[in-house]
Amino acid sequence: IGALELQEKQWPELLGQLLKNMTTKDVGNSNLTKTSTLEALGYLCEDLEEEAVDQTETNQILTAIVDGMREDGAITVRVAAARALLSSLVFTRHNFDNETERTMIMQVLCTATKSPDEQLRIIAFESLARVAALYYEKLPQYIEALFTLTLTAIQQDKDEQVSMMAVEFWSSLCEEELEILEETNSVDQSRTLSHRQCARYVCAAASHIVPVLLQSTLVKQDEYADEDTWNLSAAGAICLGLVAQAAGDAIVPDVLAFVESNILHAEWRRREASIMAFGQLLDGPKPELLTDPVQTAMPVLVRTLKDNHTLVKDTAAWTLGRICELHAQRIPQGYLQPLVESLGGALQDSARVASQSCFALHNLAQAFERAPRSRETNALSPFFRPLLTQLLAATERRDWQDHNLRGQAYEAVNMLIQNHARDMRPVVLEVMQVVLQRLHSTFSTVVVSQDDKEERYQLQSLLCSVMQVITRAVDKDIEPFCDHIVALLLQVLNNEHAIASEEAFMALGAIASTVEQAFDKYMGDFFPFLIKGLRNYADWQVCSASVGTAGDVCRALESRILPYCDEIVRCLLEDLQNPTLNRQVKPAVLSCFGDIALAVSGNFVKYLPSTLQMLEQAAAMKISPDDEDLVEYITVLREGILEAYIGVVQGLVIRASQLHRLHDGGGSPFIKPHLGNIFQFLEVVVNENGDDPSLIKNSVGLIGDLATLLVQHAEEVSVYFRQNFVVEVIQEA
Amino acid sequence: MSALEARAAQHRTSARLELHQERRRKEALKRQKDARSDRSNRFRALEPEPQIEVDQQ
Repeated sequence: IGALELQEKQWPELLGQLLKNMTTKDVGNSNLTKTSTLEALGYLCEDLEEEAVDQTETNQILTAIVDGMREDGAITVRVAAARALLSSLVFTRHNFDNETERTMIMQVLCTATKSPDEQLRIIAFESLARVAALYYEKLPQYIEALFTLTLTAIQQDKDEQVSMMAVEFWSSLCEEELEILEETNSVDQSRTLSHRQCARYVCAAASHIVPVLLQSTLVKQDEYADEDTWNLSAAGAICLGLVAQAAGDAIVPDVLAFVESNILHAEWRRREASIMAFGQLLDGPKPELLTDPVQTAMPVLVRTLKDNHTLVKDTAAWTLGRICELHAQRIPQGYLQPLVESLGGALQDSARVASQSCFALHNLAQAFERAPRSRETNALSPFFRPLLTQLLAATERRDWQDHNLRGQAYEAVNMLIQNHARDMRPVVLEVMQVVLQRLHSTFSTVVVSQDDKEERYQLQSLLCSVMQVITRAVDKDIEPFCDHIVALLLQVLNNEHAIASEEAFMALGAIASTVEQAFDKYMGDFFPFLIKGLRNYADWQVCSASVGTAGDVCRALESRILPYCDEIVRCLLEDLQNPTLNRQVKPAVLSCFGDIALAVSGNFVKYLPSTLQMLEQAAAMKISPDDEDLVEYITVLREGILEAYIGVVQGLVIRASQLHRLHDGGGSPFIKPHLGNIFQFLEVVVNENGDDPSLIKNSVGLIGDLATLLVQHAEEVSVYFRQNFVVEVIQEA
Repeated sequence: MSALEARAAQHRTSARLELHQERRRKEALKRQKDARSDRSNRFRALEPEPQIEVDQQ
C-alpha cells in the first residue's frame, strides 16, 4: 500500500513514521519493531519507482538501514537491514557518487560478508553483485578487496549458498563488462563517443578466478540433483562460460590444462567437470585457437557418450552439441560418422542423455543451414534415414515425458528436414506420411483426464510444427497431400487450444504460400477458423499467428480473397482498436492491411478511409527514449505502417492501370488529401530510424510508389517530393 | 525474480522447447516480411514505365 501511495505522493508521513521506529529507544520490544520496520522499508524499496523517492528521503532511509546493519546489533535486525539495503541500492546513485557515503556502504557490505550468520553473508554477496551491475564505474577503489572476499568465500565458505552468491558477483561483473564492450563496439561503428569505459577486471583476474571455478565449483556436482537444479557446480559452470566471453583467449591454457588432466580421470566428478569446462570455453576465445583442441577432444567426447555415469554422458552430449553449434566447420569430415552414430546410439540411453543427444543432433543439422537448398546431396545424407528413424522412435519412448525428450526429438527432426539435401526428398515425404498418421491418431486416443487432454494438444502442436517445416522444405511436392493435411489442421483448430492452434495456423500459412491460388478450395472451411483466430484477444499468440496467416492467404489468393475481405477487414480494425489485445499483434495487423490492399487493388477503395485514419493514428505514436521496449515496439510498428502504405499505394496504382487511368492519376484523389501526413511520417522515420536499413528501404520504396501514383499531378504535389529529407534519404539509400 | 533465479534461467537445460516456439514465431514473421517485400519489388519491376511529362515549374 505504501509503495502505491508514495508514488502518488498520498502518504507523506509514512516514511517519517517508519524512520522514527528506528531511533525510538523506549519501544517495548525494540528489536522486533526495528526488524519489522526494516522489512517494511525493504518491501517499499522493492516496489517503488526510482523517481518516487526524493533525495532527502533516500538519505533518511539509507541512514536507518546502515544503522540497522551495525555489527553490535541483533542478527535479526542486521539481516532485515541487509535485505532493505539490497532493495534500496537502485535509489542510491547519488550516495554512490559521494565517496564518503559510498565507502561507508561498501564497508558495511564487506563486513557483512564475514558475519557468522550465513543469511547475512548471502545477502551481502548478492548486494555486492548488484553494486557491480549498478555502479560498475565506482568499483576501482574496492575491486581488490572484493576479489579477495569473493574468492575466499567461493573456496572456503561452509555454506554452498554463500559460495554461489560470491560466484554470482563475478557472473554479474562479466555481464556488465560484456555489455560495456558491446556498447563500445557499436559506438566505434557509429563513430561517436562512448560514455562508459571497461576496466577489464575479469581479464585481469582471470588467471586467479578460473582455477578457483574449476577446482572449487565445477567438481562439486550433486549426483542426485535433477537437471534444472541450481547449485554451486551449475553456477560455477555458467560463470566460467561468462568469463570465457569476457576474457576470451586469456583463459584457454588454464582450462585446457584442466581438461587434459581430468577428462580420463577415474573419478566421475573430475571427468564431468573437465568436459563441462571444455563446453563452457567454446564461446569467447578466438575460434582458431580452438581448432586443435576441438579436433583432439572430439574422439574422446564421442567415446564418453558410453561412459558409465549418466551425468558424464549428459555433459559430453551437451558439449558435442555446443561444438556443432559454434565450431561445426572445425569438425573433420572423417569424424562425422562416429559422431552421428554415437549420438544416434545415445538416443536409446536414459531420457536425460537421449534428450541432450537430440540437442546435439539439432545443432549438427543446423550447421547445414547455409548450404544451398538445391544441393543434390550433403554430408548428412548417408545418415539421414537412420537418424530420422531413431528420432521418431525416441518420440514414442515410454519415458518421453522426461527431460522434454519428445519435444527435443521433434525439434531435431524439424532441423534435419529443414536442411535436407535434394537426394533425401523421398525420405522427407515418408516422414510426412508418418506425421500425418500420428496427427490422425491423436483424435482417436482415449482422453480421460485434463492431463491427457493437455498431452494430446502438446503432441498436436509438435506434429503441426513438423508439417509446417515439411511444407516449406519440399515446396510444390506437398501439393498431392494438401487435402489430407488441411483437413487434419482444421481438426486441430477445432480444438481451440492455444499452442496447437498457433502451430496449425502457421502450417496453414505455409501451405497457402506454397500452393497459392489452389488454396481457394480450402477457404470455405478455413474461413470461420480464421475469423475466430483474428478475434482471439485472450491468446494473443493465436491472434498473431492468424493475422500472419491472413496475410499469407491474401498473397496466395490475390483477388480471390475478395469475398472474405469485409469480415477480415472488420476483424483487423477491431484488433487495432482493442485495448486488451497485446500490442505485439498490432504491427502485423497493419502489414496485413497492405497485403489485402495489394491483393484486391481497386476493391480496397471502400476500406481506404478507415485504413488511412488508423495508419495516421498509429504514425502519430511518439518515441520516449527512456523506454527501450517502447522504442523497439515503435520501430516494428513503423515497419508495419510503411508496409501498409506500400500495399495501399501499389494497390491504387494497379487500380489506375486497370482503369487505364494511370496516365491521368486515377488513384490520386484518395491519397492526395493524406500526403501531408504521409510525408510527415516519412520525415520522422528518416530522422529517428535512419540507421535501420529495412525502414529506410521501405521509406524510399514508398516515396517511389507515391511518385508513380501521382506522376500526372507533379505540379501539384512536387512540394512534398522536393523536401530536403526526401532528397537526402534517396541519396543515402 | 531473485538474482539466482535469473541466473538459473540461463542454465543450459532450461526451457528449450519454448525457445523453439519463439524461434518459429520469429521465422514466420521474417518469411512473411520477405514475401511482402519480394512482392512489392516484383510489382515495381513489372509496373509499366509511366509517361512523364515535363514539369513546367
